[in-house]
Amino acid sequence: MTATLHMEGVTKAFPGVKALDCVSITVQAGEVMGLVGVNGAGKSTLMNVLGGIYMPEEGHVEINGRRVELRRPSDADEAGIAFIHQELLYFPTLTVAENMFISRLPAGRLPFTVDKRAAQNRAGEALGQLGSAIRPSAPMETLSVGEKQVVEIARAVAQGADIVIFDEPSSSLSIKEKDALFAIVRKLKAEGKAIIYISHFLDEIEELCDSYAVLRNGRLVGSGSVATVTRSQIVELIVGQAMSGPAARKRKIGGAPRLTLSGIRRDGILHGIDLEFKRGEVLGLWGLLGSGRTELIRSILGLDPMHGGSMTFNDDGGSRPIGHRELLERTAYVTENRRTDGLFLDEAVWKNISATTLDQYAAGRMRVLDKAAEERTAISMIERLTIRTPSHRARAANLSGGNQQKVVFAKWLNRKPEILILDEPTRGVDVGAKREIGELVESLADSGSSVLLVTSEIEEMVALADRVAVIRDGVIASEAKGESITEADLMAAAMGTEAADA
Amino acid sequence: MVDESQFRASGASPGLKLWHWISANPALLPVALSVAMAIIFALTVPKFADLRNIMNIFGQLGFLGFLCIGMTYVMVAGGIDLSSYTVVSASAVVGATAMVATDSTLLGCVLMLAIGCSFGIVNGIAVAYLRMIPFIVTLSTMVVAEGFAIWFTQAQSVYGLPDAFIDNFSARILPMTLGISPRPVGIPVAGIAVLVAALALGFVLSRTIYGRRVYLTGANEETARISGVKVRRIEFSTYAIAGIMAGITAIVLTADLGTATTAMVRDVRLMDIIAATVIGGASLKGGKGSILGTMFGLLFLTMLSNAFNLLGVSPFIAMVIKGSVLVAVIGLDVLRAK
Repeated sequence: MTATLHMEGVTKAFPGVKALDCVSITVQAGEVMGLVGVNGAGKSTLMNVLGGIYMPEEGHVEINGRRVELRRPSDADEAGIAFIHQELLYFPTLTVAENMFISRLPAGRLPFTVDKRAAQNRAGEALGQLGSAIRPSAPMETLSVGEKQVVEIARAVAQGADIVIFDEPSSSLSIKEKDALFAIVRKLKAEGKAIIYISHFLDEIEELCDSYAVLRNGRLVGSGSVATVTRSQIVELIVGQAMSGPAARKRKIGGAPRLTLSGIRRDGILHGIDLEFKRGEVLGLWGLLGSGRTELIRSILGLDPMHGGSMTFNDDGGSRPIGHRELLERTAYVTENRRTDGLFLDEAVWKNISATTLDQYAAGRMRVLDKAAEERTAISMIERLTIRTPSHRARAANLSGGNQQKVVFAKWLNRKPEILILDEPTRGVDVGAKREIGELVESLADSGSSVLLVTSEIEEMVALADRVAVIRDGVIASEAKGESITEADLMAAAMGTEAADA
Repeated sequence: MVDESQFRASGASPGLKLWHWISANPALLPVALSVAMAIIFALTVPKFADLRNIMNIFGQLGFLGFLCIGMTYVMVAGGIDLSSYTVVSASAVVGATAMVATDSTLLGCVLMLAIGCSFGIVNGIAVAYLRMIPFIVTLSTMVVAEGFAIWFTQAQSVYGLPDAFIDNFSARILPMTLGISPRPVGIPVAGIAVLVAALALGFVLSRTIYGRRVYLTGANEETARISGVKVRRIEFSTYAIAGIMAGITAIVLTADLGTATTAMVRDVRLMDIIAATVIGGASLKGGKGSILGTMFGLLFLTMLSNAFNLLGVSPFIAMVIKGSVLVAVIGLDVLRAK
């Protein structure tokens, strides 16, 4: 089955804001359309219209030239529209097959029983079609993130979806898994499915998509064939203005290293890591998911066990050993996942911002907090980092991803950190905020902070890092500096496909 | 999703605005419930609004008030303490026995506080440092404390307490006479004590750096830890506070009853303690709640029991209503989170 999707003049208003303003797009059978735009541009709203979650005030959806009414999620299912979400939902202890057919498990011979074998056979078939070797009988929780996503896609295919929407599917995948995902998308395309691929990564759009559509402030501001457009043109459409290239770096790196790690070990994960953090330097830590990059950070900060090695800190008084607790107190740590350990989602923005610097606001023996001062600081931080929020009293959960990430930064900036550790600082963040965060990192390094940057985005690494250490299987495999940091070298070193000679 | 929150703030209808204001100030609900109850009962229940009865209610707050304050600290930090009501008995019987033997009020009171605090410390160490599940830990210490109290007293009540002790703590001060009531009416010391404790500990929780850290720990332990909060110490301290509150309750109750027994706070009252705290805005997930809210939650429940008592309605009907109110409030909390 193949299908052509057409959305005509879709308009959706929320009180006060037009979320979608007469948006029309067409995706042919066998076409992959890249849908891009900053967070809040209307991508999610548009997709929620397709998913039957929002009813548009004007406009309609056509599939194969016939109008379809999408009033509820089950209507979208029946129309053959399937979503592959950024955050996967599944039952961890159930098997792959059970997860795939959770709402339509084949009945067994006795009433109220399930024919497990039939379910597994059908699951195996669907997975096989995608070229995957995942065992249908494996419990879901034993799968990697990438494999879980494959299961999700297989489920969509098994349910006969002709229109598949990928919502930032690659943001939590390793490089290898990303390649596997691309292969599957191409396979679906070859089968004549209409595909919408939402991503912040323009290189993915270039590589994978036939056409593109750019949303800004609820309007379709550009669309066409990917072959006829350059990356900088797309960026311009997304942000609405031309962007200047990265400023040439003329930072002063020098003096004794601020922090020296030697022989850091954690059983089974880290096998003797040596690293130096210099003043005013952005040190990149490059490696695949599971290489030990996040584990290294958590171990040295005392958040996870460390089984060996030593840490030496160098301040004005000379060098001395430093413990986990003191290091944690001297470090600003922007974690990989802001929702689980970066923010207090239910708390107001201002409380999030002041959480790391409460001592500054406490007075007297009772250590009473000066709330007015906390709020003032938060307001000035919101202005300084242009955090888009209705108020400093809004709950952090109500902000978009990019603005949430800026709140995490604001929380640490007040402390004027000597050491700044950034783990995937721009994950799930739109192009505009990404750029602002990059500039912020540069300015912090300029002011003398030692920055450790972990990122899966190779361009970001090349643009920001002064020096890159490649971590592979719990050891530092190689290092590269300045001009010699190139995308190809980093990729090769991380995957171990080439002798590390940088 | 930023857009969505912007409409919420700006173009919302008055009703919606009111709803958000209520959401932002969860202590309003118990205050409103209490005021509404007070008015309804004052109009419909004979003798409810008598000064004498009002002082009665005020004094009753002193019995569960301290435990509710302790529970609020524990729940805001993300835990729960099921043991406090049997810890009261364990503390009371030991302190009372010592008091009877030595005739020293001071020694008895210090012992009650110390034993309450020890149970809190055990709970705190198990939960904060040994990373055991609060529900299971405090369920166990609940049983331990109860068993200990029965074993220690051979299930007998402790009588013969020093008069000075009973007079000091169960007294009513500022006697005043009211036209409608033939007997003198005083303000119960227990009520005053719990009011003072609520003001002081409410201030600490809502205004000080320590209090903020309790909230942050409960809101997201991992984020708090990375932000530099010593989360284990905070968790530990909340259980210790709850233990001390159980010790104080032991003193107040022993004086009021004139005896220490193995079941000074009955098990159904554990439900009242948790209900008052949750109606007061606390969440079982932590990070929410306030002493102000909890005290009004407790006031609401106490008035309910009192009015039913005056009307001669079965206390079991009161239980049905209390349980229903608790479920309704939790339901409201779920709605509010959306």
